[in-house]
Amino acid sequence: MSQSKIIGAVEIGTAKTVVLVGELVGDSTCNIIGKGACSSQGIKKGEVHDFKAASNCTHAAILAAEKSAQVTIDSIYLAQTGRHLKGSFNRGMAQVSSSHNIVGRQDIERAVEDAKCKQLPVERVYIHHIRNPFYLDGQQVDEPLHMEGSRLEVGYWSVHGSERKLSDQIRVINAFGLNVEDMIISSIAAGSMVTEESEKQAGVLVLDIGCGTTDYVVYKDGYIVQTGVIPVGGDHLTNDLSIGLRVNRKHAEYLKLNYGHALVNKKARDEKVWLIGDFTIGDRNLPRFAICQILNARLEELFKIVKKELGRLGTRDYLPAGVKLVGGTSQLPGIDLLAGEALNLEASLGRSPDWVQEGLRGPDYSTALGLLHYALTGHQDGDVQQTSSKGLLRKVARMLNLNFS
Amino acid sequence: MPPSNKSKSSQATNRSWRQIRQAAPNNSVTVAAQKRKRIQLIKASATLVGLVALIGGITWGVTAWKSSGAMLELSDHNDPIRRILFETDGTLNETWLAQKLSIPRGTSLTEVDIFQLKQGLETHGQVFAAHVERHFPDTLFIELEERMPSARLAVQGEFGVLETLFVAVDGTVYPSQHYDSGFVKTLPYLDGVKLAKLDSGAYKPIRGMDEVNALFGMARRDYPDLAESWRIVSLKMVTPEASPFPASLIVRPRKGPELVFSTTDYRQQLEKLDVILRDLQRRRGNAGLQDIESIDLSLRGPAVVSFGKVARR
Repeated sequence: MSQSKIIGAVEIGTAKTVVLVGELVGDSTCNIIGKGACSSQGIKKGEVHDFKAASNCTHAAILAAEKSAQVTIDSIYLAQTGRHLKGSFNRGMAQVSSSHNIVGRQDIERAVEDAKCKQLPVERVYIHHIRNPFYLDGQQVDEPLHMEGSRLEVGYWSVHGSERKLSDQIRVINAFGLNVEDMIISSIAAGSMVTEESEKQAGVLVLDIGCGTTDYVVYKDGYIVQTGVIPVGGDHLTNDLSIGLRVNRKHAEYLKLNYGHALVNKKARDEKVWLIGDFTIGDRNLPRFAICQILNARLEELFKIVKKELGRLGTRDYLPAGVKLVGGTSQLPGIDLLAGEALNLEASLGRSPDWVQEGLRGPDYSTALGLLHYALTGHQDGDVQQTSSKGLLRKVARMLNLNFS
Repeated sequence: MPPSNKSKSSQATNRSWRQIRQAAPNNSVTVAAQKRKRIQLIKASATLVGLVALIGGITWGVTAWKSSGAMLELSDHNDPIRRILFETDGTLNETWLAQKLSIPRGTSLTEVDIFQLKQGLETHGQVFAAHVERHFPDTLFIELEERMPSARLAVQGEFGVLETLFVAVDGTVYPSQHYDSGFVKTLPYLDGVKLAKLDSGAYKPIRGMDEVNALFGMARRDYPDLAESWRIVSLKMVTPEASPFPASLIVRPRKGPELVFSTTDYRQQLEKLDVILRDLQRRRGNAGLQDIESIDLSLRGPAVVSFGKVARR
């Protein structure tokens, strides 16, 4: 009989906190057995600004998810975003020590250690070390062990963040009596769900345009070669509409969701839309052209920032599979067309695989689904230190629903 | 000593988010967390209670299974009785018991009808109550509560042999060979008694023994010298249907006058008798009681002292 483990995938977003409950059975099955969501408070651009408010909404979402699943969550997989997250590519090198120039385990370990040993400033901690392909005497190899060569190189995309900001999010989870078992950045989680292996091999960009931030991940040759966070999201669109049209944020959000379009249609220049629609005091006509123009300008700017961040990686040659858009803002009509135009890439809306049940295929759940996928595959390379659940005391504690820190 | 810069920088090098300390706060920050904590506490308590109940149940089950196994084992053995434990508060002994029980050798404990044994033992007049128990695997336990005699009867047996019967406090009449002769001599003989037998062969209990016991008990306690000489007590007048006179006990000492007591107030009558005897002793010396035939204390008012023929002359 396989032992099952109940995990919670938590994405504390700027607009919404989403929780999915998964039951890991053995090493190959994850049943999604519950979900919960709550409007976020105390979160700005993916970072905790009000601990109490953030805890309130996160705990409510977790409790709702536990209630819908009728189980108690054992541990949490937490998505991370925020502009404090940075990434850097570090290359490590080792001379093959064998007299016959055959690569041994020790050679690989030395190359890996060399790549990972880059010092970070104080107050910064690593989140991921994502391995890129090995190079043996300049040639890319998938598995260098027992191959012949003299110089072994390996690259790691290392993601690090502010210890204090990470600690804030961890404490929010801890305050609910749960431990964070693993932490995955949002773009990787979402990317793992909306891209296929062939697209990762060819080269693809995944843009997760959320409320407060836009997270991106670039895949090439099946590896993650770059990630990043741009502190621009759907909230900026709302804010721009609010200022540009002189309406309050509530009405601006209403206009964005109901009449917004990423492209400016010059033929619809004379089209008017009602601000409220019920002829009450304050209700007035607004040109839809203006709404689209404001949204278009901000989105174009966002894509320009993305293109700039990607640099040489953002070309059609490097990313033949194009760009996949996910996240709440990706639901804005025409955004894929604008992205394709602005980034000069094939653009499409990311969609979770068919095996995901209909209610969870939307862009809202792609990050949380990615966390569960990550928990199942558990393929985080590098500094993973799995929390041991072995031992009689821990088993008894688990039976009694107690937590060991 | 403060850490060196070198160690500080090396600390920063390989730090992972996993080194951030995770610990649940003592107080729940949010209502949801409090609610979850409560639910967890209830669940933990329920699990604990369930575990304790399960362990208790298993322990009880194992104990019960073991003990029932032992019982089955004994009953399967069907051992014959090897020992009879006998306890009594009287004078009956193992020899008498063996004759009375007459259990065939090799009889198993389960074959013995202990209720029948009890009834059999209680048919003997000396046995007031019998208690019989099976002590597995091979022991029969018998405990007797015996009657104590308060008087004796001299009757003529079938072949003209004088036989002594004993009369217990409750009037039960029974023969016995198990009393010490010294003790037997202290018992008064009963007179004026008509013995009758029941269908079971036992004697019909004698009425009036409670009066004999009350009088002798008080006399032995308060006037032991006096009571010691009382040899025969007659119950002829104790039953109202036998006589138109009030119920009375007639006591005949070894020497001296016959004493007549009414069954009403023995204390007053004994005091009166003591006064009379002392007075006679004081007035007449050693010959004081020689010619006195009876002293009747049963009448209201003064006692009647009857003198013999010599005295009357």
